[in-house]
Amino acid sequence: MADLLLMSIRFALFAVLMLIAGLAAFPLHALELGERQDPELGSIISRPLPWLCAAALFLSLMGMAVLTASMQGVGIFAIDPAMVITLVSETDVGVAWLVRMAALLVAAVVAFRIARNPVAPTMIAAAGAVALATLVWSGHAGASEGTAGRIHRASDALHLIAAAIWLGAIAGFLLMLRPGEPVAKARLAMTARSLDRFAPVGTLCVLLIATTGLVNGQMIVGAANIGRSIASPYGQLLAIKLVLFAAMLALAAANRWRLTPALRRAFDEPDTDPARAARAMRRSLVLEALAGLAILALVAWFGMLEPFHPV
Amino acid sequence: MKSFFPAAAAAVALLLMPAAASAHAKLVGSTPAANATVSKVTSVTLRFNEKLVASTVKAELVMTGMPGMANHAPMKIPAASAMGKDGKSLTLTAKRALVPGTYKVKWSAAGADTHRMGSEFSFTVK
Repeated sequence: MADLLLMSIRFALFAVLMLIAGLAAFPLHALELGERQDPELGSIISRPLPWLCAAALFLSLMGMAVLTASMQGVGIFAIDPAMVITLVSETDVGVAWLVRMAALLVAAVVAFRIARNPVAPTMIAAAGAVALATLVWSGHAGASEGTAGRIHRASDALHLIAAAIWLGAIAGFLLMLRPGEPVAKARLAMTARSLDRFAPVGTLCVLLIATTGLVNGQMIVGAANIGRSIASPYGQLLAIKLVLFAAMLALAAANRWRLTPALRRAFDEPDTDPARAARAMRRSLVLEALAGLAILALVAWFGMLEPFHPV
Repeated sequence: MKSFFPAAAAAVALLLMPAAASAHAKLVGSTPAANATVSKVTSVTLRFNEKLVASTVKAELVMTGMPGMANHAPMKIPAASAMGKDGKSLTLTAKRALVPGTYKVKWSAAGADTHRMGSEFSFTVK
C-alpha cells in the first residue's frame, strides 16, 4: 500500500517536473523570436505552468512525507518534522529534496508572474531542470557510490532532461493544435513551422536518451547480467519500456516525415483540408504522449525494484 | 568504416565501465555468525553491504532459549547499539556477557537507496 502510494507520487513527480521543464523550454527551441512574443500563443503555452509548479510543490512535500515514513518503518501519520530534518541532514535524498523544493519555489514565483518577464521561460526551464535532476537521487543512481556514482547520476539527470524536452514539446504541440477552436490558418502554419524547427532538437533528445540509457543500464544491470535481469520483474518491465520507446520513435518519425509535410502541403494545395491534417497530427501526438506517460509509470514502478536476483 | 569507429569505441568504453552493484541493504556477515555456537559473548556486530541511514536503524537482541527450556517466549536483552565509523556496521553491546542459551538478532534499516530492509538470525551461546 505504502509502495503503491510512493510509486504514484514518483510517477506524478516525473510527469509534472518534466512538463514544467519541457513546456517552459518549448518556446525557446520550437518558436521563432517573433512567434514567442505573440501574446495569445504565449499565454496558451505558459498558462499551465503556475498550476504545474503548485502541483509539483505539493507532490514533492507528499513524497517526502511518504518516503520518511517508509524509511523509518512507521505509518504516514506517525512522522514528525524532526524525522524529516534528520533525513535531510543525514542523506543525499534529503538534500536533493531540499534543492528540489527551492528550485520549484523559484519556478512557481516566476511562473505566476510570467507575462511581465521576457526571460521567465528560460528561468522556469532552468529551475524545472534542476528540480527534475534532483529526482535521480530517488532511484538506483542515488545508491551508486564514488566516481561511478557521479557518472551514473550525471547520465541519469541528462536522461531525464532530454526526455523532458521531448515530452514538453509533445505537450506544446498539442496545446497549439487544441481541438474545439476554429482552426486558425496562421496558427496551423506556425505549428507546421515549429514542428520543422523541433526536428533536429528531437533527434538530439533521442540520441541523448539512448546514450545515457545505455550508460544507466550498464551501471544498474551490467551487460554481463542481462540474462539474469530479463528473468526478473525489473528486466521485463525495462523490456516493455524499450518497446514503448520504439513505438514513440516510430510515431515521431511519422510526425516528422509524413504528417508535418502533409500539414505544410495542406496550405499550398487547394483541395486539401488543413483541419484534417491537423487532426491526424493531433492523434499521433496523443498516442506519443500516452506512450511517454506509460514509460514514466513503468519507471516509477521498476525504479524501486532490484535489477536482478543476486546469485 | 569511419563512422563505425566511434560507435565501436563507445561500446568498448561502455563495457569497461564498472557495473555498480546497486542493491538494497542487506546483511553480509556478523560476529557471532548466524547459527554459530560461541562462548563469552558480550557484543554482536552486524556487517552490511552498504551504508545505512543511521537514524532509521532499529535492532534488537532477544533470548529465545535457555538450558532446559528450548523455545521460550522472546526475552529482550538490553543492549546499546552503535553504528560503525563507515556506516556499514552495527554493534549491539549487552551490559554483561550473555548467559548460555539461544539468541536472535533482528534488524531493520534503510540504505542509501531509501528502501527499508531487515532480517533476523540466531546464534547459540554455550
